[in-house]
Amino acid sequence: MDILLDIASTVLLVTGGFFVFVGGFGVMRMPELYTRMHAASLTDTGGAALILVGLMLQGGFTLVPLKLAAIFLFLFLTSPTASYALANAALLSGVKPPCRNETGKTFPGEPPVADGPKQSKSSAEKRTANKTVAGKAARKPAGKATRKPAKKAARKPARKKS
Amino acid sequence: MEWVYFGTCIAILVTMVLAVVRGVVGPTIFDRVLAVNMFGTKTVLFIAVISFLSGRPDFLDLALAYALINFIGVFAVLLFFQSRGVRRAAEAERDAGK
Repeated sequence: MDILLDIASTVLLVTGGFFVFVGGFGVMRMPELYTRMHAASLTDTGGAALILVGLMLQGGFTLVPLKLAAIFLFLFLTSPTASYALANAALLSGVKPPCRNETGKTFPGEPPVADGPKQSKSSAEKRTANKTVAGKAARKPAGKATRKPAKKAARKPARKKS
Repeated sequence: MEWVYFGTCIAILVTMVLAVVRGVVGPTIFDRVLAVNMFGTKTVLFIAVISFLSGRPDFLDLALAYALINFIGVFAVLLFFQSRGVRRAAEAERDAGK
């Protein structure tokens, strides 16, 4: 029984250490803020959970596993919350993720990525029209899809002018 | 078992060093906050593992207290920088409108 517990906690601790190290490596090497946040937040929660459970198995019937469980519960609740708050704060204060959708455009209102395709003049209107067409066509059956988006695309610029 | 604890300690320490490097290098302020948050979480784990390595379970109370302090501290710093960023964006918009 003892050796089984030892093996289980060894596996958990080694896996947790690996997760933690991968998180640190990702934070060091990832190209920009949001990808770094992704690496950090996932491995923070996962690695901490693995290591704490691995230690819990070694505690025996004392107060130690309870304390570890308290730490585990607290970290499990607060680590994603802190990551969310960090991303929210970064986005609100103007750090935009340099993402690119399927048409090669960047975030709305941003200049295009350097090696992406060139943006035309009325790209914003085209993009909204494209989006509605794509969204509707995916949901509606084929017969309706040809009629409805056309109406929507025609209505859209009129509303924009007013 | 000691060797496993020791290896986990080394992994956590290396990660802490990487987090510190990111905190020093980090181009935006949020990279630094991210690094500090990560450092705090890793400190909690490190204290927990050290308490098993040295056979002193009292250290777990310290780890719990550190987790609480870390969370509150990161939130306080984030609130401060978030309001600053929003204020600056509003000022820039107003200046552009003039």
